[in-house]
Amino acid sequence: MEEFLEEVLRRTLEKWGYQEIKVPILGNLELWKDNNVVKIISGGEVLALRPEITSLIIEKVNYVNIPLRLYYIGPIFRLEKEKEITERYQIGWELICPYEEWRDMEILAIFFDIFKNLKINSFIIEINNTEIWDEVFKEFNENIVEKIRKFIIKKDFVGLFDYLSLINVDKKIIKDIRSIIFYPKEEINNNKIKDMIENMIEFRKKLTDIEIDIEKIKISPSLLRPFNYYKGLIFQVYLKDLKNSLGGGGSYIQYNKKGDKIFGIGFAFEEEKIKNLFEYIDDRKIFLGDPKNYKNYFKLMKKEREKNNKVVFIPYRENLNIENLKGEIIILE
Amino acid sequence: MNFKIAIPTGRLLNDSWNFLRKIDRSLPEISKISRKLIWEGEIFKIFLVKPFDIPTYVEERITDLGIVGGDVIKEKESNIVTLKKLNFGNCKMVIASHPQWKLEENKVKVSTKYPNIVEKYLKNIWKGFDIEIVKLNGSIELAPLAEISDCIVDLVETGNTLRENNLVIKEILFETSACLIANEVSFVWNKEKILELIFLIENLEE
Repeated sequence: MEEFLEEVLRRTLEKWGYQEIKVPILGNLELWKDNNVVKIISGGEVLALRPEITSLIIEKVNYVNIPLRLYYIGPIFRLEKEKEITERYQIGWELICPYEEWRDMEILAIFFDIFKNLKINSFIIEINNTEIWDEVFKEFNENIVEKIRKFIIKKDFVGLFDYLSLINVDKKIIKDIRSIIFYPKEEINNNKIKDMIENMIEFRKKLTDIEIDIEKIKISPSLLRPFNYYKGLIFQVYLKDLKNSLGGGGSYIQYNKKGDKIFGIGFAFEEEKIKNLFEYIDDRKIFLGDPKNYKNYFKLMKKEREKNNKVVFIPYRENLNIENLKGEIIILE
Repeated sequence: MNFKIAIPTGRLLNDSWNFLRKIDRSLPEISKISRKLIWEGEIFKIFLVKPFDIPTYVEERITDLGIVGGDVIKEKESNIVTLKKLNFGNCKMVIASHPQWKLEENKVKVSTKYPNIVEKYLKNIWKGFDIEIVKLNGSIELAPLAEISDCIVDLVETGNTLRENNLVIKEILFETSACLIANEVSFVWNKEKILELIFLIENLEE
């Protein structure tokens, strides 16, 4: 099943012109200013097991005015609840080039294409723009912003409002924050935030031009993603059949190893989360017959392979459950 | 609206049930509920669950929503949406001990039901002290009396149990109340309905 999933992902991404990139598993701790990183101490140097892959890609790439389309499949490591180390397989794709609307649209369109090919239809993509929270954060110093960010990422709104009242935040700012969290039910009074939401509504409408079902796109001004490199559009995916978020991504500005500014946008999710949800479509031909006659079937199978068809031989047994076989079954004499 | 909601058995049961009944009048009165663990009204399907299991029920999406004390949320650190403080179950998380006890030696033994909270708060306020945590499941007040530990970290509502056992509050770590929590996928898929519920609760509270 995992092989099928990866095959669909690779096939879809390669159709869009994306090429696979491989990056190291260890990175500089400074890349991830986050508590959930697994640290490795090696010869006095502290390194981190990658909790995501985008930062390592950005470090490696050079941008020469032509959009770079990259994808990756590999393990990531996180420290859960401050003590458990988890390893998960992450799949992602990055479009590296400066911001233009088509760039953000393409990243979302690929997600829809992959999920169409996997026959997964029940999902919601929440979108937001980091500028909304930046508008609120400009009122606070760096330490307070970091604390507020943590509450929002954790979706601990009770903790957030307790903290805001503890540090005596102005009522007007608390009202702005409340209107962001309880959007669309609470009225937004801050005009700048209102304009930013209007821009997102316009962007969402434009997605119909590239055949995206915008009923699946919801504007969520409260959304924030972990990692500080996001700047601009961000998104998070929720599948109806999962108990937590599938993954997400967004637009970023970061520096590569040479110190050049790299602009891009990416999307990533964990493979394990969908492995029981997609419809497994196998286009193999299954030749089912008596193993004693294998040499007779061999020529038939060879002909099929010459036509570029996938063919497998399964020996017939009395207790064989044919319903478990995926593909077109050809019963041989 | 139609929500699966987990509510705690124990000290928050009556308040939680009566609170939900204000919204869903089809639910029976609290005095008429039996030992059944699942109750279905027109708006809520209620699961009666041990308080410390509620974040797990919500995180695992067995229920969309839950009502649980802020103390349990802080202790469990589950991946949930903490939506709103409710107007009941007000308590304090405190350090308590004998009136004469002072933090003097380098080593201190703390009994608690909340090892993660002790780890998080006490290691911060008692920097440099060697803190040994003794995890107990109930009657925490007994620990200093039976000399199991020097002090306790526990939730206090009225302070009567502490007083009756000649213990006093040494420090308040935080104040807490019952909270409404949600599963993150349920929250996104039912956002409008859940926000409507929050606004309805706020109207009832006014």
